[in-house]
Amino acid sequence: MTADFVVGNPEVQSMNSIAFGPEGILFVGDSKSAMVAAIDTKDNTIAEAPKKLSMKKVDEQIAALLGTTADQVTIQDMAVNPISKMIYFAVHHSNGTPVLLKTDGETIQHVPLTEVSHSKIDLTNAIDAEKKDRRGNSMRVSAISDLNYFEGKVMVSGLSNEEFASTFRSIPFPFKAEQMHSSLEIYHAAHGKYETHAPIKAFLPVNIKGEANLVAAYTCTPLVVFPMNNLKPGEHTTGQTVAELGNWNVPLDIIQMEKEGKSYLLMANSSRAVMKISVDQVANFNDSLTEKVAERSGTAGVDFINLPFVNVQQLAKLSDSQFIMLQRKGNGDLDLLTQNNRWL
Amino acid sequence: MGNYPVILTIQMIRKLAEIMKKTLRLCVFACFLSTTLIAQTFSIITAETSKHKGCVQLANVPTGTHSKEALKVFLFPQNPDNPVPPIVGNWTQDSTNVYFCPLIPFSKNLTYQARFPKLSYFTFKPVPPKNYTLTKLTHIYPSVAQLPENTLKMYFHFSAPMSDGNAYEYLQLTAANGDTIEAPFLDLKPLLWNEDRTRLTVWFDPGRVKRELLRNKKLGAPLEEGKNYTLRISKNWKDANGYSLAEGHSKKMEVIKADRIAPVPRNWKIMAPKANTKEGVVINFGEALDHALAAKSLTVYTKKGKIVKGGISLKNQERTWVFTPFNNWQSSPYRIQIRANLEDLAGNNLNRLFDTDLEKQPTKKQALPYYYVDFRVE
Repeated sequence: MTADFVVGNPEVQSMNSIAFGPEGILFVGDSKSAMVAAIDTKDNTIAEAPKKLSMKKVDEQIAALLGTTADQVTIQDMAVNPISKMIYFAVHHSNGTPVLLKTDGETIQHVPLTEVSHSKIDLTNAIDAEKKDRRGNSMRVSAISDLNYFEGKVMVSGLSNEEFASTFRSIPFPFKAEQMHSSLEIYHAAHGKYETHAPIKAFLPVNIKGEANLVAAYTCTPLVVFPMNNLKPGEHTTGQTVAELGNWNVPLDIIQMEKEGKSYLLMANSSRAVMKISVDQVANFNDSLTEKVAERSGTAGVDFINLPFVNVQQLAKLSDSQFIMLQRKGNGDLDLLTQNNRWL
Repeated sequence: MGNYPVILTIQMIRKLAEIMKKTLRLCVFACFLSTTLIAQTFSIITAETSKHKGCVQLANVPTGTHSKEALKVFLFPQNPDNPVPPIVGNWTQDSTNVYFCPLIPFSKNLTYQARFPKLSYFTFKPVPPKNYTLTKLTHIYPSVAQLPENTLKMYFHFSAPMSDGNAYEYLQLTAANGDTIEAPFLDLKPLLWNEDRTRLTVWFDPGRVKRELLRNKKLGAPLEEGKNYTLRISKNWKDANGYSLAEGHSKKMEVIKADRIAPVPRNWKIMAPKANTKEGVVINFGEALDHALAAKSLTVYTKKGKIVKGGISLKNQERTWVFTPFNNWQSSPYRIQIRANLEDLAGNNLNRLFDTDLEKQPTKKQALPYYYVDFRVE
């Protein structure tokens, strides 16, 4: 996996999204440099997940480590190394400096990227995108909204800061020099009537009935499913809207958990509780959403259950039976907490 | 960013007296001089030209006595019940000095303490520079006062890089009756800044703009036709150095009928320049278009397909595009290529409407990457 890696500074300029691949490799989505960096964390010691973890005021602890105040730092993303169970945070200071940190649940440490084994791929190197416009202006900046590793591919969703459009890239890993990859435009239908293409905020590759699918949560809340085989460069793909997830809400993060052979999606939201959705229900949802679907609390589509966790900003799978969440508590504290699969 | 001159509170070094006592046995005068010369002193590098600007320097560290990492900097004061770890940064060393450069520049609002084994502590507080130029909000687009009900986005331009933190709390939309419009903008993270964070893109909540989505049905569009609104931009919005803006702003908006018609280049009015001049070729779009896209989606070509180099400006509140060539126009036909992703204020582009009613438009017209309009210079 790391045969093509080089040692040095990957020159990451922003960290919008992070995800672990195999062998302790951390993928960092860098919108500012329009690249994904694969970093060999060498964090390969197998460890058990802590049974129960509760870190208080994580933002204040991070701020102290950086010599600043909590209002000056934002946790952009969180990921768990499935081997060491270390929890990684991608953090931005208000001046734009990105910082990678990790914790075992006790102390928070800086992960310097000045001299690491890494590999990079340029996201502007897409088959169907112009690298520069005709006058040589740099291309539109696309902010990376989510990133996942799935079966040998790094998948990246992007938001444009100019057009109301979504880009989705699927990049084979290990990265190869001058590798080309496709940017896909995917659409969804609202109530089977109005077709739009909107930016994807969060997504997760999920196996449904043995087939790889993409579950995508859009900025305007529809939850849409696409069979991955249908996603082909240059082709117009419309996904199936399986749910609308409520007012004033931006989906933040989706994870998949299993219990007793059943699979569930957990989704964190900006203004709703963490939602639990059965993958079986998504698989068996054959209607497209229509006006006739009963509306419950401003939502529609597949059933979902609101878990008693509000203001959850980040979710990550910690082990087969546990997930961790970064939650803003009623007293204003931002805490890191484990939950187990009794909620599934 | 964030590097400021500091008030130095250099404390006397405890060790100094001890060393002097020992050295006095050998000689008085000469050795006093030598100990003075080797005194270990803390300071903050403020020189603009120094590669260590904003770093803590510990001068005259005897080689081999300590590792450079022994120099540590902490937030001050510390809570003894809940001590915090040293600040993250990088150390470097030259012949006699150790430098600690924080990963994040020291903040002007906080106090820090540098420590080195067996030396007194050095407590310091960065002070803002005297002549700091406050950042200004320079432009808001769309600049037109009349906005369609389904306006999709706004751009805010600043004179210097802004803070990467929250932005929406500094934007307040109020109706003419004084009511605040709740959450008109999509609370999107990451914020859609340009590369140097001098331009922010903000979306009106698309779930409310799009027809038939539940949010639209429940709450309606954020802007309502026939009503007037004021968008206030708070002075408290911080720039990248943590300073508030020079002043607050407000933009009055009058909301007109929703725009559900895609821009059609063949309906644009083109005013051709004269040959052998550097006059601008002017396109009147007949409506205001998206500022960012209108500024970059059009390219002028010669008859032979060569790009004509020149400058572009948008005028008449983004309704008019002017291209001024660097070299004189020839007496010849020219062609303007328009990228299809050029949008109007409601996100309709040349190929499709922002939300397409599939019942009314079951057959899709072919999506083209570019459209063209021609003009002739005589």
